[in-house]
Amino acid sequence: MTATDPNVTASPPPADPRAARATIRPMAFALLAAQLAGLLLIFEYFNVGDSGFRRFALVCFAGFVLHAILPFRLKKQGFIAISLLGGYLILNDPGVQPIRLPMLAVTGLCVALALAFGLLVYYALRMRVAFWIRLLPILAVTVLMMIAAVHWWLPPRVWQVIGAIFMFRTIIYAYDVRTARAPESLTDFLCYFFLLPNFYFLLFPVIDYTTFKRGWYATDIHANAQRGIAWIARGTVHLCLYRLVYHEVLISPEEVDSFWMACRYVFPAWWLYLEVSGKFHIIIGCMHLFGWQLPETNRLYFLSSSFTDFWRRINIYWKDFMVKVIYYPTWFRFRRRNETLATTLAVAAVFITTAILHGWQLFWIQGFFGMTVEDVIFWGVLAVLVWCNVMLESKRRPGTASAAKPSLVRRIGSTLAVYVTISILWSMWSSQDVMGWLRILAWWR
Amino acid sequence: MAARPERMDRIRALAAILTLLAAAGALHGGVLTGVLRRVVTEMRNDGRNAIGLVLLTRNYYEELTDVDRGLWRGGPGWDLAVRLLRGDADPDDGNWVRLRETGATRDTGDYVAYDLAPDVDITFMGVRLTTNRWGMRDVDRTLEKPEGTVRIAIVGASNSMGYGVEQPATFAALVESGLNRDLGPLTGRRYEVLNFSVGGYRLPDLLYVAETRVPPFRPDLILVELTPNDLRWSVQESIVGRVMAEADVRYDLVRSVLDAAGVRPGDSELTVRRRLRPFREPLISACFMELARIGADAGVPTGALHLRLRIDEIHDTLARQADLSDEAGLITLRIFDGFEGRRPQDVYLSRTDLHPSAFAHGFIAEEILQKMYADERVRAILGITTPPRLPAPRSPS
Repeated sequence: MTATDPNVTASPPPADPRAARATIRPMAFALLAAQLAGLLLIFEYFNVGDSGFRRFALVCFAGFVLHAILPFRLKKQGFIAISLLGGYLILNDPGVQPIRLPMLAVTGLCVALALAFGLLVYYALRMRVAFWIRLLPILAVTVLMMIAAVHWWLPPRVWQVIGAIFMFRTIIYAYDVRTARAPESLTDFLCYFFLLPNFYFLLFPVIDYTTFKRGWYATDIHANAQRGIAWIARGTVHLCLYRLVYHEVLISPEEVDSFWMACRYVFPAWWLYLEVSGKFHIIIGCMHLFGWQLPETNRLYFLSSSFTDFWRRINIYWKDFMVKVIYYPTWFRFRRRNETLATTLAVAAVFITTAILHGWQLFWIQGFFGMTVEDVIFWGVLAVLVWCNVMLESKRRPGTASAAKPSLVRRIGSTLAVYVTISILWSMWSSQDVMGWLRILAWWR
Repeated sequence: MAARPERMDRIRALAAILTLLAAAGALHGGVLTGVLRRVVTEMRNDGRNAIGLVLLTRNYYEELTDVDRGLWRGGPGWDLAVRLLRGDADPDDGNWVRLRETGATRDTGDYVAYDLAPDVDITFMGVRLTTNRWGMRDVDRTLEKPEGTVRIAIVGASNSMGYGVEQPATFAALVESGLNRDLGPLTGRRYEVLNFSVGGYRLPDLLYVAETRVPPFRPDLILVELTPNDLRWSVQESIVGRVMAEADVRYDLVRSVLDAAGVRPGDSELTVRRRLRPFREPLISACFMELARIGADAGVPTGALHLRLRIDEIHDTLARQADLSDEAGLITLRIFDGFEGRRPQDVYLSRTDLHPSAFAHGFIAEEILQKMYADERVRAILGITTPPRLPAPRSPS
C-alpha cells in the first residue's frame, strides 16, 4: 500500500490547539463582559484618564467582544483592523469640540504614515542583503522623521504616535529578524507593531517579539482574558493610589523645615511611579483580551531586596529588552577574556543604553532629547549599585553559607536599605538640579 | 493555565472592581464621611496639585504621562499645531493661546503690568471677546453713574472675566440682569454690575484695580473674586514673584507680613517660599484688610466673593478663607453650593480646562443673587430691607 492507494485515506492535518483555546463559552464570556462593564463605570466615576482614555477603553472592550466571535483563522487580521480603525477613532478624540475635517485628515495621515513606515521596516528587513544594508533605509527615513518632528512639518501628535509605536519595538524586531531562520509573516509584524493601546498610551512597555508570538492563544481565552481583567483592575487601583499620593502625600520644597519633613519629601518621591505601573498593567491587560498571554510588567517593586532585584521588578519588560539586546551580547563577547570584565562591561552597556534610550523616548514624545546632569547621576549610581549586587551574587557558590537563604531580619533590612537608597536617588532625579535639591534638604539653613 | 489561577484572577478582579464601585456608590450617596470621604474624593481628583502648578519639581515619567493626559508641551509653534489638529486653522482666532499672547491686552508698566485693551473684538477660547472703551469685558458704560443707578464692581481674574463663555453669559452679566429683574420693579432703580476682571490677575493685582481703576466709576459696592487657590498658593506666588523681581510690594500690611516672616532682600526663591509658607493666612488676611482700607478710603463698601469652582472641592480652605475675610470686616459671600453633585462635562469648559462653563456661570449667578439678598449690608446697598419674594428657583438643575 502506498499513500496514493485509494484504500488509504490521508490523515487530516492536526487541529491547531489554539483554535480550541479560542472557543467561547457563553456564560464564562458573559462574566468577563460584565467585569469590563464594571471597569467602564469605574473609569467614568473616578475620572480615570481623559476622554481619550474613555474612548480607548470603549473601543478596546467592544473590540474584545467582536474579536471573540471572529473565526480563529481571521483573529489576527481582525486584531489589526480593530487596532488601525480603533487607533483612528482614539486619535480623533474631539473632547467637547466638534470633529472637524482637518482633524480627521491629520489623524488619518498619522495612521497612514505609521503604516507606511511599518511596511518600510518590514520589507527592508526582508531584503536578501547584509543586515547592515537592510538597516540603511530604516535609519534614513528615521532621520527624516526626526527632522520633520523638530521642524513641526506636521502636528506633534503624529510624531508622538509614530515614535511610540516604533522607537523600541523596531530594535527588538530587527534583533530577532537577524537571527530568525525563516522570514517573518506580515500578519505577525502588523499585529506586533500596531497594538491598539499604543494609539492612546505613548509611554508603552517594550514587548518582546518572540514572547509576543509565543503568547498568541497560549492558553484558554477565558483564563487569559480573566488575567487581563485582573491586571486592568490592578492598574486602575494603582492609578487611584497614585492620585492619593499626588494630592495628599507629596509636599512642596518649601515645606521641608525639619528632618521629618525632609523624609516626607524624599521617601515618597518614587511612589509617583504608580502611574506608570498602573498604565502598564492596563495596557498588557488589554492585550490579554485579544488572546496574547504576556508576562507581568512590574512586580512589587517597593519590596525589592537588592538593587538587582529592583532592576528586575520595576520594569520587567525593559529589563528583558536590555538583557536580550545589550547584556547577553556584550557578556558573551567578553567572557572568554575575563568574566568579571564581561559582567562589568555588560552592566555598563545596559545602563548607558538605558540612559540614552530614555532620552530617545523623550525626543519622540516631548520633542527634545533630554539628558541632564541628574539623569547621568541617577543612571550612573544605579549602574554601580546593580554592578555591586551582580558581583556579590556571582561570588556566591551553591552550598556555601553565603548562598543560603537570608534570614527574615536580614531580608527586611536589605529591603529597607534598597528602599531608602532608591528614594534618595529618585528624589534627586526628580529635582530641577542637584544643588537645588541639596538646598531643599538643608532645611536648617 | 490551570483553573485555580483563573479563579484567583477572577477573585482579585471582582474584589477590586466591586470595592471601587462600592466606594463610588458610597461617596455619591453621601454615606462616606471624614477620612474615607477625603480618600475617595482625592482618588477621583485628576487635577493638578499646587506643586504641579507651581512647577518647582520635574519628574521624567510625569512629563511623559502628561502627554497621555493631553497636556502637551512642545517647542515653538505648538499653539498652531494644536489649532491645526483641532481644525481651528485660523492663526488669528486665538484658541489655546494665552490671553497675553493675543491682541486683547496691553502693557501698562504699573503694578499689574498689563490690562485689557479698549475696543477689542477677537475670538478667544472659541468665543467672541470684546472690550468696551474702558478696557473692560463688559457692555459700554458711562464713567458718570446715571441717576437712580446702583453700581456694583466685580474685580476678578479669568473666572469672572468669563474665559470660554460669551459676555452676556458671564455671571457678572447674569447678576446684573437678575438684579434688574428681581429688584427693579420693587425699588424703581437700575442696577449695573461692572466687570473689571482680567485673566491672570491675582489678589494683590485685584487690590490695585480696586484702588485705582474702580473708584472713578463711583460704585456702591466692590466685590473681589476669590477661589481656594488664593489661600493655597496664588497669593504667595504673586508675592514671591514680586520679591524675586525686587518689585514694589506696595501694601504696608503685606510688607509687614514679609518682615514678620523674615524675608530679606537677596534671599533665594526657596528661602522666600520657605519663610512665607507659615504666613499664608497672615498674608491673605493682610490683603483682606488692605481691601477694607481701600474701600474705607474711597467711601465704598468692599466684599469678597468666595467661589467654589470644583465639583470635588475640599471645603477646609474655602471655609477658612471666608472666615478670614469676615474677620477683616469685608462683606463675605460664600458661593459654595452650586457645584455640588454636578457632572464635570456640564460645569467645566473641557476636560483639560476647568474654567466654569456657561451652564456653571448660570447657577453661580443665581447663588450670588441669593447670597446678596440674604446679606443685610448688601440689602442696604441694593435699597431693600428684606429679601425679595421670588418665584420658584430658576437655577438650572
